[in-house]
Amino acid sequence: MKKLLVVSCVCDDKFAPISLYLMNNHLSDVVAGVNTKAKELDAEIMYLLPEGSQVDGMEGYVRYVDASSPTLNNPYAVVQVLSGNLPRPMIQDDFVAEYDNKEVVVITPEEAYAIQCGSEDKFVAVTADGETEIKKVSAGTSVAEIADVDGAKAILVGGSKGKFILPQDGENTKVEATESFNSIVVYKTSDCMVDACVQLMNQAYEASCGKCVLCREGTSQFKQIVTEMTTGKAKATDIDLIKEVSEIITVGAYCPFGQNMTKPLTSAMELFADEFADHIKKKTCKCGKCYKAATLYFIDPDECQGCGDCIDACPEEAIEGKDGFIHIIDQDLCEQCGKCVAACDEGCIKSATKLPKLPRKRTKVGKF
Amino acid sequence: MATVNLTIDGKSIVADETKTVLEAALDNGIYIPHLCHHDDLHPNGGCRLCVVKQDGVDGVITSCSTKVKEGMVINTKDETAEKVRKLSCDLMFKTHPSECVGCPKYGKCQLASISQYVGDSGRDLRQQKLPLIENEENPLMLHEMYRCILCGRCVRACSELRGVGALKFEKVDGRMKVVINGNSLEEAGCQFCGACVEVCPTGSIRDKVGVFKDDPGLSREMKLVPCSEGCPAHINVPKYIRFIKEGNFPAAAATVREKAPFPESLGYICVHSCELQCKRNHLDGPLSIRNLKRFAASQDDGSWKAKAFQKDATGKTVAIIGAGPAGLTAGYYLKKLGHEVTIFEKLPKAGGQMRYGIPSYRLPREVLDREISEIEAIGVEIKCNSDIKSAAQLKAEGYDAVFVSVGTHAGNRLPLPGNDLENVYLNADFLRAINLDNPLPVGENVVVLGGGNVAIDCAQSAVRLGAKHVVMTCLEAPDKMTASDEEVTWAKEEGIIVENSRTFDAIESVDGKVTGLTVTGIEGLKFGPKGPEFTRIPDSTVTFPADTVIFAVGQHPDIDEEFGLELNRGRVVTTEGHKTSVAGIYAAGDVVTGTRSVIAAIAEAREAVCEIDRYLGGDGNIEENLAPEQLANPCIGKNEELTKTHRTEPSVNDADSRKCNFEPMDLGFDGCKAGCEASRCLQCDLRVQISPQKFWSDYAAEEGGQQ
Ligand SMILES: Cc1cc2nc3c(=O)[nH]c(=O)nc-3n(C[C@H](O)[C@H](O)[C@H](O)COP(=O)(O)OP(=O)(O)OC[C@H]3O[C@@H](n4cnc5c(N)ncnc54)[C@H](O)[C@@H]3O)c2cc1C
Ligand code: SF4
Ligand code: SF4
Ligand code: SF4
Ligand code: SF4
Ligand code: SF4
Ligand code: SF4
Ligand code: FES
Repeated sequence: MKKLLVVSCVCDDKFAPISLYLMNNHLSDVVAGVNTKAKELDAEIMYLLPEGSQVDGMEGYVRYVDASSPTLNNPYAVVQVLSGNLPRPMIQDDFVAEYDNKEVVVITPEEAYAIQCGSEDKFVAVTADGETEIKKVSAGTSVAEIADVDGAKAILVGGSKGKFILPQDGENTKVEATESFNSIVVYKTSDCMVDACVQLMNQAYEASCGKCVLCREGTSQFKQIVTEMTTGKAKATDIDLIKEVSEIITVGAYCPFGQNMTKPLTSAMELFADEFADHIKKKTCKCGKCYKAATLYFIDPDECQGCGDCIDACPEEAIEGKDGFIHIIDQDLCEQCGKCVAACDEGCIKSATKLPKLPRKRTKVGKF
Repeated sequence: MATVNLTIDGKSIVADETKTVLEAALDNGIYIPHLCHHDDLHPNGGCRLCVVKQDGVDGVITSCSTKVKEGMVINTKDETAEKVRKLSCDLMFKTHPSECVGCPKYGKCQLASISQYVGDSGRDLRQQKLPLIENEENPLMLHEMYRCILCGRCVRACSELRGVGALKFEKVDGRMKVVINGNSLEEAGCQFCGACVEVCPTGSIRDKVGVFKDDPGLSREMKLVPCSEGCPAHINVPKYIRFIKEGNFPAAAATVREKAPFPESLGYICVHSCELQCKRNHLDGPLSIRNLKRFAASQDDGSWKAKAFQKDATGKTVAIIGAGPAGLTAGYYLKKLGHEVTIFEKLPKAGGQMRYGIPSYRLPREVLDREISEIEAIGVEIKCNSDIKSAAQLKAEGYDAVFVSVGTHAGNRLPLPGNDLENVYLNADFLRAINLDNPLPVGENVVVLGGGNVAIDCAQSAVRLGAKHVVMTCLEAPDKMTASDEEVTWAKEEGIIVENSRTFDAIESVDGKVTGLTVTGIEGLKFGPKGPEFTRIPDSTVTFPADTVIFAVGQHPDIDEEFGLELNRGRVVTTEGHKTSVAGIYAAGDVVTGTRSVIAAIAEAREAVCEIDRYLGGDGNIEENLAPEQLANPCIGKNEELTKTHRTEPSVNDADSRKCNFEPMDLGFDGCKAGCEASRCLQCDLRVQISPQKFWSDYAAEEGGQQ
């Protein structure tokens, strides 16, 4: 069967937009590397670029797709996308991914560049203060030399599949010529690590191709549980739950993305255990990021008349109560929408960042 | 084929090198849980239930997508692997209803079964219930995607097996979903093949209630191919329709003949109960199965004869009484089984009601003659003009077995004043006389009592004999008549007036000559144990003028006690296996069931033949493959126009040209119409090709119950 070498510029990690950088800045090297590989395989070449991107001087067979996924370095995932489906990898021995009656082989611009220029050069995307800059460094350079780690709180090395390290370890963390060093993200002391994990888990949920249960549902669970840590719903046991579940996902997920997507979260939980504990147990955020929006609503037990007017106002059906009894908002169900406040003519639905003492069981009006 | 040696759970296994670890394990009675895997589909690797430990490999491997290799050592009960499975199961149920109560799939659900096997770790993961959206908008199938666990089998079946691609994955509000690739299944090019339903392990994609019979006694094939099930003889309908589509008409005819020796006659007059069951009823109307059969049978080239079985003579003799479809069918197969057959027929020619009841404008006699001569050609002897008075006596004359199929040849006469006047006829006598070329005289005004197909035959025959005004009247309302809509329409086109919802009071006469029929309007008709119940509408009594009255209110067998068999309300009583009260005498067809249909008579005769053959020492096997092998291509591709077609209608002679003669009126299909209609078939049998879903208990059972 004929072969088709697809140059995938759509499988970059969110934090490491290296493919397009290489295409725009080192096109001739990439093309030379691709051509060498194509010759070796006796393959036709297709460049797969993200919809809307523009590469000056690009020639040859180019396809633009409205997809980007960490799985798009897998030939089957590429074939799916070329056929108009969502990307989903297939990892199976002697499986041949076919497109247009050709066997698909995938190469990234980075791999192509390495064929042409050797792998001494390493491109690293460094993100600090919301700005990303791509730097060319040589393997062996330390993280501290590449990014300004002074006064940082933590450094995420390797993006969505990477790990958090402390700034003091930046010195002896040396960049290797592997994917795990494609990006370095610097977090400031004012950044909340729990909030950072919420962002990371949202991204992981979006990036998961959804093929396998562990990664699809795992990202969805993590996203919810970590978010709950910032709104006061999480439980103390959730830390162990995440650790235990992550371990299993690392072994059991189908592709490298799923196997590694838990690492930023688990490494943050390890390095910043106190910060996580404060969020869960004390329901406070030292950085003031979380719990801000998360005003907690409660019904003042001393003022409630037990009329029940508030019950229907709550779209989550979080208000519980019976005629003549003090009404209570179930904090597990409450979504902090605040709609109940106006429903109470007596003005006894109030908000605070910390809940006062409230009745635990059904209590008659005036008996609390 | 090369094989490799491996060890699974300590058991040495030799497996074909093309197998996966999962297949090798299952083949050897070692059960590994699996859910996204389906025997007929590409591996997916999504459910993570099939993970196992391989010695020397870190972590776990996916057994459904890993090929066996020489020397592999596999542990399926590995602790880590079991943890992965349990977590996967836990996670699946976080988005799935936690209770199976009320789920129609319960009891047949692979997910429920597997979760019992794998168990639950009781982790405090979050419930993320999906909105309970039921999509019943599409015909035939419904989608309740809140039960979907995204195993992707449906998507794979639709694209890999069918080449349709009507289903796809899509992220909806961030969550992965299986969705229709368009606004509706029709728009997505769905062929309504049901493959997605067949492979779905959960209750999320299901057949709508009523599409298939929910009868646990039915075989999988009969359940899934409703037309074949609806046919009393279970003719392989989709197979012959496919032959027609391919243009191989003789093969189609041969397929019909595998189950019935009257393919072409059936093509003209079959009551087509298959069409009532056809899945396309739920789309845009059933296939015109009977007309397809008729066209194919007309193109028969006899090539099936070379494949027909003929057993050696057994020396046994069988007498058959009555040469209707039941008797002729029985004679045909008994002769093929090697028995000496003699059929005794009272009337001058063979054919039963196909000749002496059904008018020739519906079934040309050349067609019938040709099919009967096929039966005579293999050596079945038919003795016409032989009225047999007693079956028991015939048996006593030395036949090894007797088969009674004398049909229902005496018309029912209602107890009305004037019912015995001259020019008051019974259906059976009236139609028989026409076919004996000696029709009973009809006047200008004819009234037919009855609302079934036989009444229509009498009315239309009266028109053809020269009657000027023909009225049909019956108890039933228009929508409750037993005659088919099509036949009522044709009758009306010929000027026949249908007077519904009337009870008959008296046949009026003057000087012994019929002058009319007095009837009264009724309402609230019900059929109770004692017959019809209704209320008479006051002041609605009228008299239809008539000089001829025909009773078409049913027939009964023309036999009595003298026949020597136990009777019940005039019909021969049979027990299991078509046995009568006398050993060695069997009966089937109308004489047992009352007037039904040609195909029912044929189907019952075939069953009786098997019994008789076994009684005579044979194996009772009359199955034969007369048609060539057929490779049904399951990859049917998209069809956005599927429901834009309509049932093809036959060409029919107009009323004026047909009502003055007994020539065929319904001209059926030509090759072009037949091909067009055949391509409407949904090929329901393709679904039977798909491997049925298995449960872990099935594998355990195969292994003699270990597990
Ligand atoms: C008017 C009419 C129209 C019909 N139209 C249709 C139709 O369109 N489609 C359809 O599927 N079905 C139709 N039917 C029903 C169908 O014809 C019968 O169900 C079918 O023919 C029954 O087959 P049988 O072999 O059991 O009996 P029959 O066909 O009745 O055959 C019985 C035979 O036994 C002979 N016989 C009776 N007594 C004796 C005796 N004592 N000795 C020797 N021979 C004897 C009779 O002469 C007859 O030839 C119709 C029936 C009638 C009456
Ligand atoms: S691990 Fe995640 S990204 Fe990889 S196949 Fe599974 S669902 Fe897709
Ligand atoms: S909170 Fe207000 S509205 Fe609700 S029951 Fe109490 S008094 Fe009534
Ligand atoms: S699909 Fe299966 S597991 Fe789900 S509710 Fe129905 S029977 Fe239970
Ligand atoms: S074509 Fe078949 S498999 Fe595909 S959606 Fe329609 S019925 Fe299901
Ligand atoms: S609908 Fe059924 S077959 Fe399709 S993905 Fe969902 S569970 Fe699997
Ligand atoms: S669509 Fe075809 S196979 Fe299906 S029931 Fe109708 S005739 Fe039979
Ligand atoms: S059966 Fe192997 S992953 Fe689902």
